[in-house]
Amino acid sequence: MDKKRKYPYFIENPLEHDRVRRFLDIFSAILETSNYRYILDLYSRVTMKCSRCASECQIYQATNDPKDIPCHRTSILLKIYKRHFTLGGWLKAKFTGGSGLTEKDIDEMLESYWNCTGCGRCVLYCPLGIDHRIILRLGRYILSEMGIVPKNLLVSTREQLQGETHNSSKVPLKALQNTVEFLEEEIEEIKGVKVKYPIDVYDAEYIFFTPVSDYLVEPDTLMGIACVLHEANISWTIGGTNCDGVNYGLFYSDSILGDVNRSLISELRRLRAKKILIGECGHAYRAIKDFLPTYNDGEKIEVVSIMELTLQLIEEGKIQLDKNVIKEKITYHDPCNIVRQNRGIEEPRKIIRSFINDFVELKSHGQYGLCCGGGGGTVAVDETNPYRMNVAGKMKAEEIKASGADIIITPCANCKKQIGELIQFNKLPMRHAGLHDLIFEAIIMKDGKKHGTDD
Amino acid sequence: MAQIEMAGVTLEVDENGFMQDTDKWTEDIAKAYAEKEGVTELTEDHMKGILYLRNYYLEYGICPMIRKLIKETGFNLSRLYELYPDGPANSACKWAGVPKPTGCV
Amino acid sequence: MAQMIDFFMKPFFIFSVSVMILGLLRLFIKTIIEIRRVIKTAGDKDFKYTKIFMATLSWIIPGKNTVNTAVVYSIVSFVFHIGLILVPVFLMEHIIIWKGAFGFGWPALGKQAADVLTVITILSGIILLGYRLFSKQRRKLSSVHDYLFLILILVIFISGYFLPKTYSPFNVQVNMLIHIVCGNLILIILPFTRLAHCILYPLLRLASAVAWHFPPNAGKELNKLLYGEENKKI
Repeated sequence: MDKKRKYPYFIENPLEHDRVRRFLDIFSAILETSNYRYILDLYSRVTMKCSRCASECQIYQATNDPKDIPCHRTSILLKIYKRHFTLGGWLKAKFTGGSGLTEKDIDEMLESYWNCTGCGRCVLYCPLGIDHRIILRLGRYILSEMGIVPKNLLVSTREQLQGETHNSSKVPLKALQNTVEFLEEEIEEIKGVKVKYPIDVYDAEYIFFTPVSDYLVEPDTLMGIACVLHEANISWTIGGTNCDGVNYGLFYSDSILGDVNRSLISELRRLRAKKILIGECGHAYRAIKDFLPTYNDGEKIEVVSIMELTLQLIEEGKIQLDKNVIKEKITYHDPCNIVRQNRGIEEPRKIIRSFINDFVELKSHGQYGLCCGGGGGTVAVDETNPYRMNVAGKMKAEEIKASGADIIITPCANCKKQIGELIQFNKLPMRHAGLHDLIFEAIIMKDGKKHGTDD
Repeated sequence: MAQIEMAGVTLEVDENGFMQDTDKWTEDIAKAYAEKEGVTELTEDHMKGILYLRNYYLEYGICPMIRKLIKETGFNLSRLYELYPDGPANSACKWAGVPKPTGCV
Repeated sequence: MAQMIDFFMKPFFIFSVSVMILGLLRLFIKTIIEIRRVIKTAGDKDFKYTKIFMATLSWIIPGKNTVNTAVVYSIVSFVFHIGLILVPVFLMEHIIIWKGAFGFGWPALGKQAADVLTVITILSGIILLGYRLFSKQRRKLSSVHDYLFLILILVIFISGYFLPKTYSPFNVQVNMLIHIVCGNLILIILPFTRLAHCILYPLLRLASAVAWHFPPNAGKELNKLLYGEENKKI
């Protein structure tokens, strides 16, 4: 009875007893308050388990364990649904005496549903069009309401929604200001231009949301973005109360997904900004672009990613990139939260081709590109690093290595962290960078050092 | 939350061994952390980085960018890894007694 | 025996067809109603219908999607489905039986074409069964049903293939009985088993897309139900 359960990731207050009943109670409450019932019905009615997805899942390819086939992962929850929430399942259990949900099922789910990175590649290959991500996310949702969710995601979300700093990395406004001042100094030193990071400026055209972690670990990306916006004279602002584009709700909770989106909208309204500009981040882009309309009470708010804006500015001739700065061989990794919906594929490539001469594609790219191995929030769960290195990211590492590139670009905070770790773990002779990191190196500033007009 | 003994003091630490109550930090605790990672002596350079991080944290409530750490201390990245085996985020911050940042970092 | 065959060819056939059509129709309409209901409660009612339709189409028309990777499996499975639909519906003998039961018919496939298609379907069915049996991953995933469906289909196609042949290895009447009993059986079970994907396929991608459009207050409603307040402490 007192034997502590072991979990594959840190959990704040693991539920030790009565997990089965709790799971079913929560499942039932979610069915009552959301629309999941019809899709569960439909999927359990049609799933043929042809396992066409197996050959496309990088996790199954790495483990060769049938448990990791997307169809199987999905079937765990479908089975529970059928057994406990449909008449047919109830009758069948009456006749055959099936046991129903067990502790073992819960253990399998809490591991399996966080082993999968939710990249959605299997969805593209399912002949029937079953979206395994919906089931994965619902499984995580139920578990999270029981308290079974990786601790870092929970703690970050708590701080973001109910803490003092309103962001997932607990960065106080004072630190944010100090950081951007430092970046302003850096830009001036390197580029010879005074570039401003506006915080809490009213009536700007764009309010800028990026994962707050960028302000801790991605100085080059942020400097590139600021230079682009400065050169093109874009009016923009960072929200002083809420600057964070992170939304872990996308990975495991409808409740959080909605709350974070609402808090972004209220920051936009507070500052009377017109549009939302999203930094280099895959999941923030999807969480805002695809889900803001669900929570905005019908108000149309334009959502633009920095890649889209930068490309537009290049095409309009508002920014100039020096073609002779980047001499290394470059490759590009597509973040799954951007490209699976078949978008954001051409923009970065057009930008890259506009100033990089030696560009090579990874073997899998575009809509069908492999996941970095840290998607679906798993990269933020530090303790799963061995799993992400040896299993989830194994195929990606091989692919990156085969490209022979010197720099791999990826415009996503998640992918950057995972790919950085993969490079380190596999000792690959290359480095990773954000798209705007290289733009920062190549951008020609009108009043910059080259012209010698700086004071 | 787990508890460990460090330099004769009982400390609350998180799963990664980062101490939770930053006020309890002393130089001896930094030494004890370093020893655990195989660094038997804290040199002036070690302390320079640790104190910079710690003072920044006490003023701003979060660790600075590594780029800023590099600039302010004058150590480059490989020097930082020499000083702190698991790197500035996982070793230096821990030794300085400040909590690990959450979120996508 | 002849009486039984007659029974299964006319009165029971009418019954089976009715069960199938009504059952499938019910499923189809029910799903559309559900999708409409969900859209009504969704906060975001904007859908890229054309995109969804094209994606649905892309798996019916042979092309990049159908044969992307896993080439052999994809082709075999695709060919199998073609035979599965064309042969039963467009076989001359079937149309004659249908005409006898319902009074109208439609043009039939040529005899040789039907024969070739039947053989292809049988072969691809056997390969698919082999996949289920001999590939570790698929065996693990397959349930008894998955094998039974395939075996049932194979029995129908094999018995059907030998029916008009003079060199049939089986007793003609027994063969006939097996063929029509199994044929009726599969019509009846279509709406109630996973084989219903034949009618639900066109709606599945739409349904998946719609499932991502949540009711705006679902999270708050859940909190109220589980914890008694809209904004629970995280």
